[in-house]
Amino acid sequence: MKLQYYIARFLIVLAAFVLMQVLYTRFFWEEDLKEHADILENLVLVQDSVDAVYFGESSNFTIGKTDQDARSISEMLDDEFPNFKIGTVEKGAQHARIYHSLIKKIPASSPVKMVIVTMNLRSFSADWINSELESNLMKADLLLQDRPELVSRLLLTLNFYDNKRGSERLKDLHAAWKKDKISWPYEFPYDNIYDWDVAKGNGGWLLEDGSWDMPKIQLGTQEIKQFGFDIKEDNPRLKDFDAIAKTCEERNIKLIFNLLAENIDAIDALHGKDLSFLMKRNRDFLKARYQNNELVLVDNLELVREVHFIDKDFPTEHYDEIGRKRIAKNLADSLKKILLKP
Amino acid sequence: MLFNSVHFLVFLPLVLVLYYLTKAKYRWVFLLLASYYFYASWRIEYLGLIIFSTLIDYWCALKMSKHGARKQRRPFLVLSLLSNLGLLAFFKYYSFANESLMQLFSYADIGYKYYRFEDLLLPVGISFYTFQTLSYSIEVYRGEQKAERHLGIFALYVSFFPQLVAGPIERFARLGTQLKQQVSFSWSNIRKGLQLMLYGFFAKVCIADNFANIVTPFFENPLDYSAFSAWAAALAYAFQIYCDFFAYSTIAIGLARMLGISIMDNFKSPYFALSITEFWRRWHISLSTWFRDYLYIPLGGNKGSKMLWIRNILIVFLVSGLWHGANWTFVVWGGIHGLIYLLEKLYTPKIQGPIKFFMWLKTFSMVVLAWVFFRAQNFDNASEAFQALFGAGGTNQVELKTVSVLLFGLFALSDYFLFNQRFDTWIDNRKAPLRWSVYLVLLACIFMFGGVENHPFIYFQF
Repeated sequence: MKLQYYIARFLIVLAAFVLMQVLYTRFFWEEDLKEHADILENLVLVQDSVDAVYFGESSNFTIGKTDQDARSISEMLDDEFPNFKIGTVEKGAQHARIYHSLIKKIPASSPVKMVIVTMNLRSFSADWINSELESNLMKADLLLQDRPELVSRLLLTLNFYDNKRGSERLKDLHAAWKKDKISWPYEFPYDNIYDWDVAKGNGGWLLEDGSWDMPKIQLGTQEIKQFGFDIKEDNPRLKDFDAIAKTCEERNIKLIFNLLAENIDAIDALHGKDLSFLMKRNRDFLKARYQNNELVLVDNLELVREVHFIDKDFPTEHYDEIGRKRIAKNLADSLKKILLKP
Repeated sequence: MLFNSVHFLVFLPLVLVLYYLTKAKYRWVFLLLASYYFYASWRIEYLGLIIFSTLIDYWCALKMSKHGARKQRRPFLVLSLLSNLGLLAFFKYYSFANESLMQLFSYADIGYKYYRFEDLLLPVGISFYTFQTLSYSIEVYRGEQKAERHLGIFALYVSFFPQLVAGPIERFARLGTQLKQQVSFSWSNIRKGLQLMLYGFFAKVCIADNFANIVTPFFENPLDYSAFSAWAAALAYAFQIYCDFFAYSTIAIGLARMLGISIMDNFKSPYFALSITEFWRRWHISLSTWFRDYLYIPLGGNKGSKMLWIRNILIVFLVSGLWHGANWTFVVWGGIHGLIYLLEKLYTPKIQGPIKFFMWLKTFSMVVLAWVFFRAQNFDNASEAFQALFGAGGTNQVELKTVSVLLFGLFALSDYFLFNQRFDTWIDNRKAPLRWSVYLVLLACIFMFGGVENHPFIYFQF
């Protein structure tokens, strides 16, 4: 008798949870997705009608004030292939972990045969990894995982994601800048970002009268923070790109990594060849890892000249019309080779 | 470790199962280890502070118990006071005191420098456990409490995880004694504990955390907002802080209950109080009684002249304000409450019939407005918030979600009906269909509408 009582009670609770799941999915899930993971909407819009998906961030859609052609990189690319439809999934400040979660969401029935994934060298830096933006990205990532929606919502409430507060992230960032050693093949006075940044931040660039050149100091130290590192095996972003490669292989989706162009001219002007040496070495590391029979890494790193970068006071991957066209063209050339393969 | 985290939801059942599987005689060992683990999960290095505080007070109390005369006991009480208040002063008030001095000297154009400790974080719960252990030392000094000889039990009293971080601040006579008793497993304790935790979680994630999303943007730029939004934000903060702290206390009481231990109530529907005096009998009861017993009465209480009594009241409220945070805004908040308290005591007529509503309205409005100082970053921020409240702000509107308003309505109703009783007592007296309906509604609200930002319990920072 007592057992029946407990079974009945258990079944009522179970039924209540099923009802909650139905109610939540029906009336509230969309709104939560819109608020915390709106990029998924982008995917849903294209996943059933395109041959390839371009996953991008602000580098894709930011345009210059005087641009005549306001098309994004992916739109320019799409126009090159009239018989091969390329859809775009984009949002500012995204990174590989989100792209991976989105790729997993592409339904098996989708016609998508190829994905082009933006690879931003800055996204491997401690500065980006410990950025405050990460909390919101991880919130989105949590909602993108495959589990009952009601459970995802509860986990969001319980902050079951990388939800460190700003002060904690800053502490981790400073620790990473000190801990992550840079190995130089030649004599160089600094072997970590922290020391390098402090040295250059305290009068590293001077005006003719001997006073500090603040615009150069601000830009130069930012460049050190964004690019002054070696990508090591334990870099979380590397794991994300590995996961993307694995998922695409399992699902038989052709994968292209699109390594974005950086403002090498501006960097060389402030740092000589030292900082760009690290960037090129990191590029070579990524190429060695992700360029093989199965994978393609399109290298745009040195493709765009300084004049075609929109932002002059902070390192970004925002290009004017010509910059975007060059990247689209480079990408299109690689794509053609793949598509022409029997 | 936050109560509203997956980490805690794994920790709790493990602790409960292992606690009841452990021989009753040795349960204190397990609970002490669990409590230390709970605290160390924030920052392991700060565990040393609790252990230091525990050892000092344990030793001082033993020494005091060996002497009959108060005069001989006094040096040990002073040592205990200096150690605990010294910790508090260093970690909580060092920067504040030096910044205030620097400001003061700057008025006279005198340079003042002090050493800044980088990365000095306020140890979570330090204000609570230092006050708890101080109450023990003072009572042993007064001869009202025997010194505890069992170091483990005393250490557990100081670090008992359910109420370690944000109270209620318990006395040894109540908590310590229970920790020594051998508890047997009872479904009734588990049920009541779960009921309280459910209600506490609802208040925290559905009300406090959702209202935080109204309050935070407003206080970042108060002058951007319309008067309506400013009042909405001020009210939202009043309920954010209440629900946040009430939730912590309720969850703490529920957790302790599941371990077979009863801890005191900390709140009794304070926003339905008809006077500030009544408000303080219903709000953070364990702190109010602490200040009454260990500050107000030693200062002389209401014995003596009216001026002395006024002085004592003001000291208690100002110190209470400062206890909450190292900022002059907290002192002003305490001062406002102290002044209203005095005015009420000196001039309020007896409460009768229809006056009651106006008494409630006056009390509630005063409390809400005083919270502005409590929440503001500084006086400029408070001034901007007041300007917005009285129409000098912009036209921006805070984002009031229908769901948040409905959830708030549900909580306000339940708070009104509970008034002088706890949720577990109320729900236990309902028939099964209603009882289960309430459980499911609360669960549904937590699952579907809990806040999603990372808002640790507000009182952790105190």
